[in-house]
Amino acid sequence: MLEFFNSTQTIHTIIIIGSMCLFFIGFYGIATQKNLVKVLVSFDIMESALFLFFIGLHYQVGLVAPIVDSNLKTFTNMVDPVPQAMILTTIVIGLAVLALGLSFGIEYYKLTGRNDISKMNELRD
Amino acid sequence: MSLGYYFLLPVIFSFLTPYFKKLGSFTLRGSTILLMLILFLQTLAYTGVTLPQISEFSLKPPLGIAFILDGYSLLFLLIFTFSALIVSFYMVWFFKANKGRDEARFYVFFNMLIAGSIGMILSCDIFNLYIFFEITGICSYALSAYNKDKLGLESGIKYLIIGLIASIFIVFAIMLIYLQIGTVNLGLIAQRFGQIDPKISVLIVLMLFIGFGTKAELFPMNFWAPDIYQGSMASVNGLFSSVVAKAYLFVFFHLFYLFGLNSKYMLFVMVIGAITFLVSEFTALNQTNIKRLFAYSTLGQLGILFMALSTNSSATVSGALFHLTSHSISKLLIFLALGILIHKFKSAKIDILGNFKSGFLTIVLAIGFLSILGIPPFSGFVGKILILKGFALTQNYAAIAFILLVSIVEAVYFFRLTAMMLDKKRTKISVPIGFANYVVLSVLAVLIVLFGVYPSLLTHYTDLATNALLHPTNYLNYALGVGL
Amino acid sequence: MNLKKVLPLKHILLSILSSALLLSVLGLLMQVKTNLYKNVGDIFLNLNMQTATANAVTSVVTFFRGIDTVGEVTVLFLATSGIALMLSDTQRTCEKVVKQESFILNVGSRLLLSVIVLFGVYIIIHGHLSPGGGFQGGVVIATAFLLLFLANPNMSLSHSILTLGESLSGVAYVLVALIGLFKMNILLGNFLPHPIGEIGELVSGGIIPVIYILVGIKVGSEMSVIVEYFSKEDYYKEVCDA
Repeated sequence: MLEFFNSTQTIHTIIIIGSMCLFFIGFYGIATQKNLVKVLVSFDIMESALFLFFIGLHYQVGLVAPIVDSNLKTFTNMVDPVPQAMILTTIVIGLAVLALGLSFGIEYYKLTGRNDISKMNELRD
Repeated sequence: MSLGYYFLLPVIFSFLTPYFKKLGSFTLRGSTILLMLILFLQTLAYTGVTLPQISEFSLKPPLGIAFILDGYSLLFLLIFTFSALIVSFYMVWFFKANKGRDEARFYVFFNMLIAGSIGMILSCDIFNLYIFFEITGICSYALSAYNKDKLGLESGIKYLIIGLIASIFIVFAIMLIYLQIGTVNLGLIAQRFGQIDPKISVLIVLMLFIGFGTKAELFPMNFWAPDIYQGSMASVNGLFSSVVAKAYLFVFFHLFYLFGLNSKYMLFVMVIGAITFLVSEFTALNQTNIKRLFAYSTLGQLGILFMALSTNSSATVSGALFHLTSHSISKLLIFLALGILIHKFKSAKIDILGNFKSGFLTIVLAIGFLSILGIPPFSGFVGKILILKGFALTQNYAAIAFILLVSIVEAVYFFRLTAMMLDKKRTKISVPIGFANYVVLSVLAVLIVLFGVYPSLLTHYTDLATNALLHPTNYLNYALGVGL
Repeated sequence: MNLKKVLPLKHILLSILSSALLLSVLGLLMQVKTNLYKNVGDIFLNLNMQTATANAVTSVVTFFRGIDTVGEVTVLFLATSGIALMLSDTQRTCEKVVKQESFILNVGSRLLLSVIVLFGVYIIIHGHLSPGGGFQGGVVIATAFLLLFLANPNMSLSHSILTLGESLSGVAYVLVALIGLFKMNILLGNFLPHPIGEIGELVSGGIIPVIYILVGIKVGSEMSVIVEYFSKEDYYKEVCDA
């Protein structure tokens, strides 16, 4: 019944639609939310959508993870390892920036008692 | 020496900073000055060798990642390492005057800000470039929030959110590039960029434009820049204006010419640059905060640079690179001098310019103002004349008229500031200047005059840079690993 | 219920804008034809036998694109420094109050600590053989400390040891890269012996497991510092409010 999913084309279509929907959910969050934590979480949603998009489009039916073991002796019929390595890097960077942003938010909240980014307007002429 | 040291040495220094801190603040300051001196001397050594130079990591390009130094990056490397050396001397005074700051962490961010900017201009791999982009980004967020007061934190948060937006667009563009071309090496991308589907290529260009344009303070996306400048320290502003913004500008035009976008998007970038220039200069007119005013002035000058660098004519581009160097030096001078005043008066209102008594500072600031405005015999004059000459050679008289007209606006506020400084009627308070600052500020002022009187000292490097930027064949050969 | 209050007009307009952007991007992406050229990753897969590393992702992360990982480690280090700059307040207004801790939670978390740390170490040292590696294992180790902080809010980590681990592993990582320059004339060269026959064994792959162990120590100590700062923040705030 589910042979339908056994084609690369179908999987890629699903991944593109799903990840882009997630991406624009994050976009909507950034545009509408005012709480700093919610804005940062929206950015994280957008980043996750990009990770899904990139990893997903490099999967093809019949390929396996790029690791050899006692059964698999050669590096053939494996998925591309570069996107996975790049995503690993991007995840760590995203985490670092997010943590830094949260620490700014905590410090700002301690000083002013606010975490509403639309009210951060003391920097003006 | 290998080019990899430009990144690896500051990294080792930053990792060891907790132990330098234990040895006392003298070691901390001294080691940072030593590091910046090493980097600057290494750059000076590179002016004598044949370019391009390359150093590979793990594998030879196009498979592996490499640092490539050509004429274009050499000019920026000189500017960055020189500015870093100057600021590291200035910070000695700053930390003596402001006791009780977290000095060690400032130096961590400062070193890595320079290392990240240098990495961005050397790397020949777009994903690697993105990592340096993030290193520079994190350091700038932390430095703008360094004061930990309301304004500093607000500017840190704003900068961080802007940075997140830019980085998401750049990651998206890199992913699309990898999906289309199957590599992230700049040389291969440049070779194959024309063959990809035009619709997708427009999407990629748009995303890279938004990503790097936001950070390079280009018009529709530069509303954040004055806020950041207002919230952070004056020395950090100097770094933002003379190093960080220039690094993003470097990447913008490097990719612009490497991917062959100059014929299609030239007019677009020129118009955007012109709007940036116009809007910023008019907004600068009625600013009352001195840091904000110079932030708008920086945006305006970046607008001229965007106009001139996108023209694809070697005379204009060479002039623009001259103007860029002169602007970096002058803005660094102005922000460092303002830092002394702001420390004394504990205020950043525009009136402080009229209330200080120090012949040295007055002269130095006047040199900076007049150089940015483009008055002979200072270096800004040569830069602007060269740009105008370049436009005249390509019969682009509209651009000449535009630049001259908007410069009148610029002249209004710069003459107002100069007149305010020279106004004898105001109450004057004498300002102490440390010994280090006399040296730092005079070096910068002397350089401005020197480049204004003998432009040939600098035109050698700008011509080299122009050639490398407009005809990147050598760069491409190295990035592709041909003939290694 | 007022619809306008639940969903203001601005939000409706923005959601329409997001949907329009979504549709246009989808329309573009649906036409993407991938595989115009051979991916660089496939070339790496062919080369990967030479590195004698069973996990191709690990060899890409630590060797083929090794400088990326140096940069990544630096980013994490900078973020930790930034968080420490923000949250390590020396002049706090409120006093530290000893909180009541639960005996069972405390003992239970200490029992679990060794198991979780062991699991993290396992993930780190098998990074070149199986999925996982320095980053993943380091984060697992940090979760062990998170558990300790949750169970016992009065706990604190020894910062001198964490700083030592962080600095030394980072410096050692850069030194490994520089030794490659001196021995192989290329930065991050694989200067340790890595015979292809040893593929799949624990000691194989030359510098690749060494790098991942160093990264593991660094990430583990940095993530623990981050976790400590954030959990202490919560603790201080509660005390101040009370």
